[in-house]
Amino acid sequence: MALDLKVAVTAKNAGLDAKYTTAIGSNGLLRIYSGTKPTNPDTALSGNTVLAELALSATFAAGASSGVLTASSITADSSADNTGTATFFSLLTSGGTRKVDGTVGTSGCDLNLNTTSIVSGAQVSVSSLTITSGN
Amino acid sequence: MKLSITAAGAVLPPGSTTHAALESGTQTVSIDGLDESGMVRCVYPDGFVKHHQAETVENLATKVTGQLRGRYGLAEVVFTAVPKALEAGEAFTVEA
Repeated sequence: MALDLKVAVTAKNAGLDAKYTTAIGSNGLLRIYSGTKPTNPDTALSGNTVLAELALSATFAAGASSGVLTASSITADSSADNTGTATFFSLLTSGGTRKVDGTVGTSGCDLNLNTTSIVSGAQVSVSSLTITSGN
Repeated sequence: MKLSITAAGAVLPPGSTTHAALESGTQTVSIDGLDESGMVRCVYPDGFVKHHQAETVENLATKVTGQLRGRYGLAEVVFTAVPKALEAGEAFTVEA
């Protein structure tokens, strides 16, 4: 028989809450970087520049529902620190430990912006962020 | 479980921000140490926290200036004191 693993919604919700809300902890951060995206969040950055830093809500998200975790409001960075081309973003703990890395682009990426060209002093906002558990 | 992230946002030109309130008078931006990735943790006058990727005080001053202009709308930023080093307890002071 072919592989066909299915997971109950309650388990998906619990997994999302643990993997993201608990892992990120309180007052997490979203940083947008230029440069080559590391293999995964356990891989150290290498020559990457932080273009913008946005503050997550004190609690990253309310409990997942129907296998979807929706981030609470994210505070815009009113003045980007550096100029560059955004290539990836991370969700981090308040202490700066990366927990999630995702791609940045203008379409078809994990985080889609109207432009990946960020100039120092620009306002950078993320208006929505959801994480969906499949299967 | 296969996971996917869907996120959307916008980049707006400098000067697009609605400014946060900042009381007039002497204000302090203090260094609260470095985070685990080596970024400098700065605490702004209203308690707002932002980390800056900086290796020198001069470089950090540029970024703090940008934040004071962008977030608080200060047209002119003149520091009356600057940190001696990128260490916890050091601070910038500025007249708002």
